[in-house]
Amino acid sequence: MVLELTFVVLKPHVVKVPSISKEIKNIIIRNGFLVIRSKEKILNPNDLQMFYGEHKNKFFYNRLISFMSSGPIEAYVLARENAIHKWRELMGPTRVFEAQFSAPDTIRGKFGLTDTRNATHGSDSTESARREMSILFPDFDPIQWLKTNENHFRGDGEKLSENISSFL
Amino acid sequence: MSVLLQRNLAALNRGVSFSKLSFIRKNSSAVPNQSDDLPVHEYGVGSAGDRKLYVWGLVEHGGLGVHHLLKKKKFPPQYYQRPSSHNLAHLCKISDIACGYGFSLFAVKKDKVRLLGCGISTDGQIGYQAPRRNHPLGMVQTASPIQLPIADDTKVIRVAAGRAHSLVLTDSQGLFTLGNNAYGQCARAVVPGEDYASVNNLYNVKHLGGQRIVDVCCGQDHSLMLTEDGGVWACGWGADGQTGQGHFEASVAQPRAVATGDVAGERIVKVASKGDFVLALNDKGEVFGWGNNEYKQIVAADILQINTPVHLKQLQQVAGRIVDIGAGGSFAIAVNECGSVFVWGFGLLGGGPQLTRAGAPQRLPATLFGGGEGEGEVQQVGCGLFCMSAVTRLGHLYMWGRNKGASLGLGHTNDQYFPFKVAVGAEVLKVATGVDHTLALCKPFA
Repeated sequence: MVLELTFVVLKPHVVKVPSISKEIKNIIIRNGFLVIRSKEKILNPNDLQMFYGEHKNKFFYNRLISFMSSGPIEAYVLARENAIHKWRELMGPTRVFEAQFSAPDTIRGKFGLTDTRNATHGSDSTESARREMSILFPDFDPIQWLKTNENHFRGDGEKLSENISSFL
Repeated sequence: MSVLLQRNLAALNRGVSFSKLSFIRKNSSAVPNQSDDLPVHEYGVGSAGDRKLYVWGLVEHGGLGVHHLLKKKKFPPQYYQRPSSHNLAHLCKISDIACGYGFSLFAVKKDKVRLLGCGISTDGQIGYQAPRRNHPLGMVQTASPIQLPIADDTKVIRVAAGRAHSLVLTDSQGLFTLGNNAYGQCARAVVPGEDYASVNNLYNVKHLGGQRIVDVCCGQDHSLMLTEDGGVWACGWGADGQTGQGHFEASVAQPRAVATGDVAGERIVKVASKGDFVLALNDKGEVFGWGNNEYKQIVAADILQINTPVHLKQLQQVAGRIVDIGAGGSFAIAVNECGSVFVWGFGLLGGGPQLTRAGAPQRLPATLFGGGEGEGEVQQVGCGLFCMSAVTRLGHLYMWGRNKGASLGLGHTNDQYFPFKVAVGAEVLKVATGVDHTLALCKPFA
């Protein structure tokens, strides 16, 4: 099976709570995701306008931008078979107040506070993953990585992730 | 039997309480005719200012301040599933409590230390806690003093805690704010990229518009202040309209009066907020609301966000004069002058598993709060982000809702669909509910 790349963000309110950010990182490792790139950064509203361009006309656009720029976030490029779908499954529905009943064991059901403060972000498609990576990791080329590096990570994912967990 | 009765009557005439009677009965039966001459044991009676503190919920983040009890345990519990008496109330006189997201604040009466805090401090929300110089702690597991620059005779009268900021109100030196200021919730200008944990700064608001501040309240990322003349002032995050300024601008760094819409000219006596919407109660028992309305937690209309205060007419029609209010994440609660509880919004509202969505206020039967004559009368209501609480006239605490981190204190971690009595061994005066832990300030029974 070919590895897929996805882009994941831990939102500001989670980064500030050590026990929860640790728990989410454990979930990443336990589910066999490989951490390809990671970064902690305070986003400025301009980056976010590119990042959330698709939501431009929604009513929650302003609160999403202002929330995401309110503090440091942690961004990850993760690799796994079927990574995008798997991460969205782990993450659960967007609306936390509903997710805590419909999907209480997901990341958002467990650690989300409100609909905006919903713990994590995950790309919904390959295209949006590429676009989002290019904003946070401008020097990382996902197409090139899949061409040259992907086969080195395939198969041994289990073993590698154990090594990474000892660093975390 | 008749001897016993006579003795009881004699004791009653002397003004001896019933607790002493049982003592007399037990100890004086051997020599009945000498009983009146025997010394009567005087039990200690508590003073009116005695308080007890009960804590329960998630232990991990340190918000319960119980590390000293657990540090020697090999397998410390993850949750306190039942209310646990905390010895802090025996060490100092606690006058007020507040629960934020993973941290707690305790205001102390007449002591060198006026304010204590424990829990998460990654934004300096419980002050600058650095046992080693320049190395502030991100988490404090036991209640630790927070230094306040106040005079000896100044009292801390109210504390409030949001997601990562705290408000401390004093009687004569105004309001002190500490913690996260990403949206101006600390009533000062926003500094981009500021590291809130690494500086030991408190910001002081002496007065608002020349009026003394009498009460404070924190939402997740906004602050509300009540002035002596009954005005509401707001600062912080306003992207849902929770600052009530008639706009959706994300940050309001200077406290501004909420004086537009239906709230104009009203004398507000209480504000409640926990998530992203606000309820305010005026002296006539009318309720006003503004902020997020995605789950119809303010009004039943199809408006997602309200930035100008509106009067909750439907509540007034159904419930009449309101005496206390609570505003959670996606639901709200109110109690009227007869002690009847009304809930609306979305979530576990307390009317069983079917009642999860209510546009119009729903009355919860008094039977659920102990029933009987005068006993099911609720006096105080409150909301956590995911749960609700009610205190009856007799000081009994009832809680229900989502049981995050066992914060309902019912002895399990399952959700609770209707009000259930929490086993607090004292008369509850104030409940502070955070996201996953709860504190109760109580008065001992005797």
